[in-house]
Amino acid sequence: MQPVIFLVDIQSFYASIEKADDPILQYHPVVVSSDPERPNGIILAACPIAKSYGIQNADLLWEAKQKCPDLVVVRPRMQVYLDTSIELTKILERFSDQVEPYSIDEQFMDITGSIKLFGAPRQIAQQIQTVIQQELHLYARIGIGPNKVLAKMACDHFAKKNKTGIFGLDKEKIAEHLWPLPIEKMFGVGPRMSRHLRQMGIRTIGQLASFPLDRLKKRWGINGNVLWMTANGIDLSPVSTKSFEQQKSIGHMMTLPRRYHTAEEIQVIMLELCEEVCRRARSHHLLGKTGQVTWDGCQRQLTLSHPTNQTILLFRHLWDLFQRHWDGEPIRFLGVQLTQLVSDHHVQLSLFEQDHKQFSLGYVMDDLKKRFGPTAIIRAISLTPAGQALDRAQKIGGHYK
Amino acid sequence: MSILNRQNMLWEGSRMFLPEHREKLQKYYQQSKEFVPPKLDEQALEEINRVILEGLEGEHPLLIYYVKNKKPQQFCGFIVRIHSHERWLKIANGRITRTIHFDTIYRVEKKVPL
Repeated sequence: MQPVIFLVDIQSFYASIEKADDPILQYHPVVVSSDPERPNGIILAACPIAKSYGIQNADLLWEAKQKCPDLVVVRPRMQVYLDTSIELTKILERFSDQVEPYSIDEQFMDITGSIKLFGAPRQIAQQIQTVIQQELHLYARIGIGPNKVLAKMACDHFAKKNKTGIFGLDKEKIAEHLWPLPIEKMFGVGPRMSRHLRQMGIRTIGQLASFPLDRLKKRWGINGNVLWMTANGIDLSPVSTKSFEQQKSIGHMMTLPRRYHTAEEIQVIMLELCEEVCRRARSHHLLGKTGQVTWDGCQRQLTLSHPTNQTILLFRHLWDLFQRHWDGEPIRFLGVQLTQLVSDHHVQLSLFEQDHKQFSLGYVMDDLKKRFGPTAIIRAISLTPAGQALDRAQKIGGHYK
Repeated sequence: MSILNRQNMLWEGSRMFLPEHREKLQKYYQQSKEFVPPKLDEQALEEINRVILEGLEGEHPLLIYYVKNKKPQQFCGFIVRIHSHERWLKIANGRITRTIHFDTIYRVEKKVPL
């Protein structure tokens, strides 16, 4: 039997949740903006009414207000959005045990085994729409395909645009529906790749599909092969939650509120990020062998002499590394990552180092934070003007909880 | 035609996840793996009670289903002791014994020795 895959996507996720929570907003143009007080804030989500004024995601707030003076601006509540996303996963799991969240508002599901139970794919899709509408008051669009890539493109290009919010795209239909679309519309083709492809004379998905595979492979290797497969509607990926079960790396990054000029200032942020990364490593009882630091388009990594989840050790190594490679230009973005994770149950004994106290200190700090909140105990250096720990504690993904 | 099988790499590479979201999902998956015993009504509890007491008095082996560390467990043996105040029983099979708390038991079967 041919697999049947759904991609379920929620219309204007953040804005729709706000509208569902507050019925007064129902018939108003609503946007969620990172900071309603700041005109340079970014639009994170716009409801369909706001979109009808020409407002798009990632517009600046003042631009949006110009397009629509009656705009209702709502502050984001990231925690609520995350909780709703999990609720959504739970709803979808009633229809199939194979549900893979792809982003906060998109989830794949394999319903091949559910067809005997719940009816034809289209019927199941309608049932899912109804349940989501009834329970979460959100509108779901569903792309149906024999694999993930066709389900995704069915949703993005057709289900989002038609009246029913459901569209099935199988191999027989791709010549008619998918191939006439411009090459930028294909999953996996960004602005840069589309430029390259256009230079090769490939302007539509159909042209890519019939392009000689060897030439694509020669130029882009595996990636060329994958693009060609996508254009032909071939994708062997399973619907799987495996990547959530094992943690491969732990990383935190942040865009700074302003440019940070001096080493002293950057140091504060790096320490805070190391603290957060190590806290998460400790909570999973993991140690990392490789540390990585990222800033404004640069990335350097090093292997530690022995795996660690101690904030201060990681910080010392990464700070060293950063100082060796930083060109002194002010930075706006910093990230810290710990990879090659191993369990902390097997620690290499260092016979003469007395770092046991340091080791347990981290766990004690974590306990305090767990019981009394993330700001219960912070490093004094975080109270200097450069510190962001207090601000960050109120946010998820850089936006207010 | 050359078809690559890269498992889920196409999607894992393009996925954007907030660490907080990933954490929450992991917790949810963890919880859904945990074993939840069936809820028992009074009659069911009485039945379990009867079978255990009969097993103790009649000295015949019982198969007890119980929950330990959020996983289902079973143990077959003879009841050697019941502590009704502290609400546990001791069951033995040869030299192996288990102490099982009443609240973790969700099913008991009488086993007739062959």
